[in-house]
Amino acid sequence: MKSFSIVSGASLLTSQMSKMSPFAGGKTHHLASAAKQGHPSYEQSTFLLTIPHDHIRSIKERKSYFYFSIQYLKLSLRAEIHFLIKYVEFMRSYEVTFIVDPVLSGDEIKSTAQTYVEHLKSEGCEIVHVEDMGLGQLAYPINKRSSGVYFCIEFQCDSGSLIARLELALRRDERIMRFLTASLDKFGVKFNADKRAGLIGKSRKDRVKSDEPVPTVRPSSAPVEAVAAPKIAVAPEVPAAIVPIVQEIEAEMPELFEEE
Amino acid sequence: MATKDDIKFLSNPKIGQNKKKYCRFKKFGIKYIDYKDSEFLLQFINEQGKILPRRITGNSLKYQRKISTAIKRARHLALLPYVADLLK
Repeated sequence: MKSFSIVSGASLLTSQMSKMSPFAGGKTHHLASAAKQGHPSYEQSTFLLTIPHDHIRSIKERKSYFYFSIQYLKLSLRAEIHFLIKYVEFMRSYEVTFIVDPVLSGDEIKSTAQTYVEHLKSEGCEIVHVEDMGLGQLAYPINKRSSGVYFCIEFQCDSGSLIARLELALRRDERIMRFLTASLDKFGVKFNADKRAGLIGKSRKDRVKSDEPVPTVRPSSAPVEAVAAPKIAVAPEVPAAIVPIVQEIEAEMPELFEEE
Repeated sequence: MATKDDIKFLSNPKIGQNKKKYCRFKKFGIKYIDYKDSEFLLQFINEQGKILPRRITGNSLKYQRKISTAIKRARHLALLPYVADLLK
């Protein structure tokens, strides 16, 4: 495998790319010129690009977006730049909920939960939040117990390979009555963050009330949405400057434009 | 002879005027259904703990699927029962 170097230029590119929305094709120009001017390191052989997960919906979209921007960069710089694109760099979010045996003493219960926090940390996860949901009545008896102490750990990690190890540890643990690991999508992450901030809660009626002023604000923001929406929905917008270059690439390397 | 006014309340006045069902998730922009919120999920199950069909709740297919996953997860964690009598 080729080695790659993360250089200052690359981090600039990465940060710029992450700022870009998927199909803001016009910005590639700025990107190229920025790399051209102040950053000598663009000549280095390989860049590592990390792709922001939320911005790009599907593999197909990613590809079309990055072919345009990368090929444009290559041609405009007239330098041989290889990009090592790492899609998996974004963090995946998970949530593990488990029920601890209530017969244990309070300290033991806490230390049980702490064990798994430590376990996840040792696997290189980023713990987002540990929620002690307290003693709860079970809807049906588990192991002849009618109540249990609920814990929920939200964490982020690069890959899901550690889930199997975590679940094995949970399964072997006699103190754990039940567990469930769920992956969170971006809405789930947002929901949990909002819940922690107190935006979502018991007072649903209050929330509806607080939502009411929104329609009055909406008319002003609506035109902006209307402009922004087509950018995402329609195929990549190719700026006029890129078109001849893209055609050139297409003639040279047709395989790049083939759809899988 | 009974006039129209006399028979007005002999039958349920609401019969015949169907209120259009809607998907509350779409209407209020709810994107995520929390499986730990058993009180909320209780709205989508009947007294026996069975998941209510879409034709009754009016959910769109997308959110009905999410609801059913959330309910099944809640059942696994003993937040909701698998079988019950007089749940509500």
